[in-house]
Amino acid sequence: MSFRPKQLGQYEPVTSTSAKDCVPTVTAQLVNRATVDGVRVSHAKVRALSGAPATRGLYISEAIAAAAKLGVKITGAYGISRNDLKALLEAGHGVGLLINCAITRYTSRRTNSYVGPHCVYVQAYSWWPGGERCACELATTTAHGEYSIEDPGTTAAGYLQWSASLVYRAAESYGGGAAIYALVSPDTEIRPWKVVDRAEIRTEPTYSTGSRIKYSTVGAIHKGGRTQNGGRTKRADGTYGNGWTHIVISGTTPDTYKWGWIRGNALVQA
Amino acid sequence: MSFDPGEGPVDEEAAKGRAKDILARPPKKEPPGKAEDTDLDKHQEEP
Repeated sequence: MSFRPKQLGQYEPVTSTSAKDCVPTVTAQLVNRATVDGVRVSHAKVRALSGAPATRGLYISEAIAAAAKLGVKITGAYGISRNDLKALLEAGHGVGLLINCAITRYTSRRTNSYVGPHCVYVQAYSWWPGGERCACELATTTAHGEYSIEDPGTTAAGYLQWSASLVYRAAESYGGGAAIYALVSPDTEIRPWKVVDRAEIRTEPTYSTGSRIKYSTVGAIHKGGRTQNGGRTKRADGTYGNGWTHIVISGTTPDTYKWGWIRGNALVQA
Repeated sequence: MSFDPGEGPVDEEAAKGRAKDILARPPKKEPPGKAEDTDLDKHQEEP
């Protein structure tokens, strides 16, 4: 599984604009995902960077502009298809999905009793092969697709599995017709990274087990593998995260690659 | 076995290529009058 951001809620902290801050909250999730836990901010920070008035939520373009000020290029994907959404997630992108809560209102994936337009963070798509009972709202033993979603309006629930059919109905109802609207963060899986901080490259994604292979070289470009949650890491601002990235440290072909783990905040996307 | 559009097992390599194509599409105008309407305060009687 790719690095999964810790939950963020639009009521954490509670501000005068919390009720309207689903897009800022999800934008903060996307920034955290794209930086593999290097940058973690609240909805209030994103809203402040956007410059939007406190009387309304954010336009997608305002969210994109705020993310850029945090060093992350988010793309607005407007009118994409079901297969497009699935492909973006499988390719390693994080997605902020615009939905109509009138569709989810009477399901176990509702945002309290809210029935208007909303934005949720989507971590991944997965295929449930059937046989055992699934964890989505369908609770079925039949094969089907699911998405892992964090709703910023119900943070206490954490990440939940939503059936693909519910996700598509809610997203397409927002856009009207078969169009899906989304914010997309850069992919974090199997992509090149540039070292921006000297850090240990280790045999495991933690400082508490395994061993140091060597230190990274600032400016070096590495092929990347997977990202994941691991042991505690310290960010530049003194707070702590747990994102780690698997990088190639030697070798010229996949057969000869030697791999190591480095804290995510020592890298930027090359 | 057949699946609805958007379901079914995934092919990661194909997804990488498809994702690049999706994000390289010419930008469309964002939907007007949508995200700015969000206001959960109107419906917060449940925890």
